[in-house]
Amino acid sequence: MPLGTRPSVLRARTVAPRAADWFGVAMLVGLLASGYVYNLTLVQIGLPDFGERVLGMTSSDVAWMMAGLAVVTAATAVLTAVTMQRLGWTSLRAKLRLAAVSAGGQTALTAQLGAVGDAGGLWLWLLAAGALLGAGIPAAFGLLVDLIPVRWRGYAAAAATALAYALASTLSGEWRAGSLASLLLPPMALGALGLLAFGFWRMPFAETLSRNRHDPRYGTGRYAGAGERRHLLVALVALFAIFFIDSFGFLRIIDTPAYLNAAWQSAEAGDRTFVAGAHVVGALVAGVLYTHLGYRSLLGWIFGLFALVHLMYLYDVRVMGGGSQVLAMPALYALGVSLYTVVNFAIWADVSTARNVGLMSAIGVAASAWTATFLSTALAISWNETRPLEAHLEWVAALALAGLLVVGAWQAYTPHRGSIRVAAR
Amino acid sequence: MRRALLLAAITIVLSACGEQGSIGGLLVMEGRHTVERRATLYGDLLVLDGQVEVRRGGRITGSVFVLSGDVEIAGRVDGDVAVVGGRVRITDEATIAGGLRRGGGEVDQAPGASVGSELVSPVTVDAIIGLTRPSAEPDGLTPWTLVQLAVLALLAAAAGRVAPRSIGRMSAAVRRQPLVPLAVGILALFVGLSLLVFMVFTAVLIPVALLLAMASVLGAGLGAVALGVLLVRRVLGPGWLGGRLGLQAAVGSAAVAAVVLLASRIPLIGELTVAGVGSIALGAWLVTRFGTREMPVEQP
Repeated sequence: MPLGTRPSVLRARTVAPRAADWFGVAMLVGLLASGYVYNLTLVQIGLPDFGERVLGMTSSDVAWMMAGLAVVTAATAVLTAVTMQRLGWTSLRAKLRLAAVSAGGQTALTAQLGAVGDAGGLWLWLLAAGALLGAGIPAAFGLLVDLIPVRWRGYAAAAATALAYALASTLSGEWRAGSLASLLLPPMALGALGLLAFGFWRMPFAETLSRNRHDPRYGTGRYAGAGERRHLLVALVALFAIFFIDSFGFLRIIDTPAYLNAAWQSAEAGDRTFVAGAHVVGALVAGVLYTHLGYRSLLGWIFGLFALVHLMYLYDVRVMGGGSQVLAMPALYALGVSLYTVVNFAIWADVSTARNVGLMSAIGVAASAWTATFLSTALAISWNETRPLEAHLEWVAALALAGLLVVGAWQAYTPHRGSIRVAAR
Repeated sequence: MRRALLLAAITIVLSACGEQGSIGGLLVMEGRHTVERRATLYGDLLVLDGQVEVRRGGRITGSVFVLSGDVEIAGRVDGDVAVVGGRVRITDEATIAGGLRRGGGEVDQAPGASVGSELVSPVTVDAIIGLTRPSAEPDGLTPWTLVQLAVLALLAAAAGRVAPRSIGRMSAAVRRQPLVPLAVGILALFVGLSLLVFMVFTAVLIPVALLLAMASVLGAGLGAVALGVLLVRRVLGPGWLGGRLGLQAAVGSAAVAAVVLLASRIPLIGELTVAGVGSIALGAWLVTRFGTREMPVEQP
């Protein structure tokens, strides 16, 4: 069959979405976006501020605490996923209940943050938050096979990424734990109540959605089946490297007040909007490319963007004396971050089936995102005291360039000829 | 080889036909340069290094963009003065009709200088892109514009005859999945612009940057011809004009250029149209591996 005629075949098999399907898509996009906003703002920005400014801890102590949070989250995610698999908690209802417990617990913790009075209390708070976050990961990512058809996963991931970064970049003008917590609490409480209602009350459209996972258009990922393990391995290694490079570089860049105040924490709303706009553009572009060309088409762009932007920062430090206020650098950074966030949201469900999506997602997110965050945080802490920014950026740029070379060689060695697979009804 | 050279020449000329029919501006990389009294420098001025003096009574019709070096302005600048690095001295006699945008470097502004507006904020990519915009409003469909469209149509026809398969592949890519070339084009524009500016900063890589820029413009030009062919085939049918690609390319490219030209008169919509068409054209060239292969598609 000529290649050009295949899209019409796809259109012929497409079934008009029902209202329940649209509701499911909106719910998952909202869940992923709000979870990510919570992680980006209160966890990654608010907690360091709370530890250092309110409790008077050193930045090194706070960084170790954040690394501890990463370990607990990763471990809990895998443990929860294994438990879900063994006990057969793979239905929509079970995942919604778990997500509701996670969201409700985090809402309660956020409300209690102000009551934490010392470092020991913050450690306990972080351990509880890590456990709840970890429990939520296989549940939230597992919902993709119930709520998002395979062909729309790229776009759903793009919508969640765009929404999350647009909100996080524009709303978090003041990076203080108290203001972030009060900003997040009302929507978190509403979301948790909604999830509790959907999880514990019988609703007709929830029943309709719960049948989706048995439909191959939902329940079997585009990379599941033959070559599934290879795709999982590639995604694990690539995203681990990407998370590591991003986290390792970003920790030092935002440790430089001139860079931070010129973009992510700028007093000018326009600057933050510009960065948010780059995030949104990056997410939409990634959604299109992931859907039509697959995840491998994005890997080269991601490593290339990180290499370019870290070389720009390095050039700025080495030649211009550092602290340049050119917005192109954070905008390119935002573009790269959005590209890989879309891949991270969509890929784990796409290498899975309805049966193992929780475990695959937990392994993927724990082994790539949280392990990379833990390692890069630990390394950044030790380098922070021994190496200047320039030497740090040299390594980050070198790692990103090495990643680009490896991806280039891999893609040249295994050329992608394109394929079209239509899931049977 | 002859075909390739002819194709390159056609596309470069095609791509250079902007709204004003030319790309204006001056690049200063070293040495000392002076805009004398009553002298006028048309277009923009990009100072990478060296020294530039605009004397009292001298005039620059575009914007001045300073990345490094020393600039002294005692005359008139019709556009903006954007400073990223280097040293800029604005004397009492100076008039800057646009704005003074400071993102770095040193600016010594005399109190008597007339500056339209002053903005101390990061100089964004927009400032750099702003250099390539015409400083005056487009004049619309003047006779000269029509002549330009006719020349463009002739060149597109020649391109259609020289590289029919490449144009066919790009056209097919846009027809099958228009979002993919658009997405790739947007990414390439973001990354490409930053990469080019970064390369220019190094000074050593300026020739490479120029080559890359020319190649990209060439590719986008071919992509624009492919868009024209697609437009004709979609609106008038594949068999129109006997199905001859050269003629379809001529009519289609002129139509695309006319639409872009008219749209560019509308604020925001015009900019989005130009950016969208440019992105799709560049993206179509890239996703077909410079017109040599069909676009791969992986559909879930």
